[in-house]
Amino acid sequence: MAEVDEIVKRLQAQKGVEGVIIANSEGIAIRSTLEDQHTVQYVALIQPLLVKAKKMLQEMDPSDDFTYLRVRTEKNEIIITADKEYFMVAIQKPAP
Amino acid sequence: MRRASTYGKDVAGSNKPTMKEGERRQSLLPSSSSGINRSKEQLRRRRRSSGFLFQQKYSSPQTSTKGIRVFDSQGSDVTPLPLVAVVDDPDPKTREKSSLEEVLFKKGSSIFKSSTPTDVVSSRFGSSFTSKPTESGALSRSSITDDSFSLPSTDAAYEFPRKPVAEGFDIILSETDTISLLDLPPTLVSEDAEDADAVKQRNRDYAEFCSSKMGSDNFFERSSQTLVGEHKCKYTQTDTNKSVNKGTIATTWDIYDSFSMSTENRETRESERVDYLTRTRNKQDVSEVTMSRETGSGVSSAAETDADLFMLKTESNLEKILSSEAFMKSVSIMERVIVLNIFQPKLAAFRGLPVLKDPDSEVRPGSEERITEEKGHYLTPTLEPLWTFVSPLTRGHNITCMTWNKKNPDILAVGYVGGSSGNPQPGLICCWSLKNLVWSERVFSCHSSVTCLEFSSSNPSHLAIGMYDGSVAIYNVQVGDDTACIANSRDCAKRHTQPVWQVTWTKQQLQLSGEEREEVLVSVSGDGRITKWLILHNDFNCVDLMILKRSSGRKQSIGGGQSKTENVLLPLTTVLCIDFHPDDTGIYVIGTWDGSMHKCSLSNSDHFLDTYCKHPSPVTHIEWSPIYSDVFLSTSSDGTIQLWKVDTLNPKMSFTSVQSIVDSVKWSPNCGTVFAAIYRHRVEVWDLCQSIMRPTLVHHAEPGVTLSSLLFAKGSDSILVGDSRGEVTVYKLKNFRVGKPKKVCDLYEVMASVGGYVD
Repeated sequence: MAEVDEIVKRLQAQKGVEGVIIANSEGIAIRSTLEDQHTVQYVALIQPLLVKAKKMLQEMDPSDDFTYLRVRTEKNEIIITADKEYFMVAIQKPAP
Repeated sequence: MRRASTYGKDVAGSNKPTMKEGERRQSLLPSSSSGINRSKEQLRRRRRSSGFLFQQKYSSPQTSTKGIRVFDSQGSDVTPLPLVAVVDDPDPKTREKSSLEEVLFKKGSSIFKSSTPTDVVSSRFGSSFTSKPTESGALSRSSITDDSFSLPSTDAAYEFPRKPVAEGFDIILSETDTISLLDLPPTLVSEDAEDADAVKQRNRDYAEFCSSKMGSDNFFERSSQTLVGEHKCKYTQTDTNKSVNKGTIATTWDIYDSFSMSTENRETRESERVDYLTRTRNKQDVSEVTMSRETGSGVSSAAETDADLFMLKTESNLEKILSSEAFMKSVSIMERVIVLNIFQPKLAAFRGLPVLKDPDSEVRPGSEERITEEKGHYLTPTLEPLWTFVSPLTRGHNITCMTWNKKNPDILAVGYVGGSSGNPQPGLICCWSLKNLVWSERVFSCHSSVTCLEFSSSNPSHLAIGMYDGSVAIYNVQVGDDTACIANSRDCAKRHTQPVWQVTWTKQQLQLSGEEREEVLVSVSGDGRITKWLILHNDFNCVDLMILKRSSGRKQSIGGGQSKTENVLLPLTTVLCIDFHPDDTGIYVIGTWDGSMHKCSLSNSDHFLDTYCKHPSPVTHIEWSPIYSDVFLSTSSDGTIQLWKVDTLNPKMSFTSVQSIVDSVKWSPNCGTVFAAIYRHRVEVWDLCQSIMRPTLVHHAEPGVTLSSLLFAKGSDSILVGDSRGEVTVYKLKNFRVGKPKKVCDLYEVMASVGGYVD
């Protein structure tokens, strides 16, 4: 547990990282460095995207596994890693 | 028949004896009238002449008296009387009679129900009788009657023909076939037959039985009626079978998942079921999750859990998630990704890839200057720092050695001195990966300062380290925890007693099998021993390859030397470095404390093959050129770098820049004429093509920092420098080849050009 917290702190301390959210597969946020409202929004919107992405990968090749997903926007980059029980979101501003 | 009999009844006496029917007839009708009597007489007469055919004449349909007359052989008038009362002279009297007849005849026929006068009655009679000629004819055998015959003849006029026919017609009555309702043919058994007696006896018995049946008490006549059950409708009510449509799509991943899960998770699921009752709800949730995952739905199992389990599950699972291994993996992936984002330009420069310019980043004015600067003219080669491998754990520890992994060139192992040098403090090994520049992937702590390390090439995850207290250990870097140490020579009886200065893996040819090469670990240490380490049956043991003694007695030295007897008490020379020949692994060169280098062979543990003496002071590092297999460099504390060729016992070339201890020298794996040397406070990169007198590139360390370790990166124009702060800085060789002539430089040419420098 402490390791996890430590890692999350380290992630948060990286350059450009705006927020880190850890949520379980049902959409409940476990840890978050953003405000509640934003957290809930992110989680609720990212979850179906994840499901879709995983399904797509499985259809293409069942032996393949989902590692991470990056969504690059104009203002920042959203990195999502996921497993069967949880997923993790990090929002990072790109290095100038 | 009854009707006919009524007529016969009135007739007085003379016709009595013939038929019963006639008597009956007579009895039925007591009253008589003239008309009727007359007709009855006629009827009687006709009765007698039953056998005769007669003809009817329809010309006078009115009365039978006028019509046909039948005479028998004696000439008496035997014309039968008509059965039906003649209608031709209806008088009021007949009306009464008819009513009487009606009453009497009521049973027989429905015709007489009408209250009309006789004519109607008689007409009805006639009709009734006429309508059944054949029928009555059929039964005529047993009965008398000509009446049936006669009646139609008398009253034929009424019904029979609608049109009066001129001539008569024949009525032919014939017998129908016999209708047999039951035919039981008897079984005939001849009296002479064998079983005739038995049959007779049976017959007799049966007759007795039948006769005894009559009055005996055993038998009781009783009739019964089988009941035909009444059908009754009975209704029941049932619940309708609810049908639910259920379908699923068997996608490829679905099949794959259930297939792989059924084979892998069978045991875990069973064990979970066994412990179901004993374990807490947490485990139940896990098994539920796995079960629900098997339903084939890719959607999360949230929808299938009960509401009351929901809360418990989430609470307990939250913590479990965070501590699960998969989560750690994901977090590390996330970290790598984020770091990659940050360091992308640096890594690209490291790998020699073009830097991807971020399309949305703002272009700062400072970077533009740099770009223009690069495009310009010849610039002095510099080391451009890319990034630094540093972490709080390693801060302050002096780096003593670095090495790349043989298989995965992105993994770097760094050995740290624990505490201040000289004190046996727990040392540290960190494995860094290029994918995560911020945090080391593995951290191992050793009981002593690490002095040297090297990855094995046959088992790429094995890392051999030598420590300050003389022990040699092998770590498995795939495992992240404390069980990584595979072998440790602390318990070995023949372990080194002095610091191990270098460990190296080398592929050795097995004597027995010829071609095969087995990798062995060779270490050199301060106790003068070169030992080969083996792992046999989990036992880490060593075999001495050679023991070096300080005295020259056992050496085949150039200077001859005094012959001294072998004496175990003689002090042993510290062997500081060793390097195996890249091609012929049976030969290796060692450098010793007293400045001499020896070429030795594995097969010969007593004598050296050659001795190279040049350095007056300890030889700190020897390295064969990776490209030219017979050239090696040596450095020593006297600040010189010597380039040797194997065969010649004098160095070919010598490089000096500053009077400082050269800690290490490394060839560049990319270019055959480039090597770098690390002095205490500077790094020098020599390019022999460009200059043999001066280093091409000199980089000074920051003040207060001692540079202690050097490494080239294969495939990349970068070097890694480790310093006393515990940081490994990665530098890119910038402008190194700018302005270089196009001809490819060969070391031999360079050496030849030097020519006779020292020979």
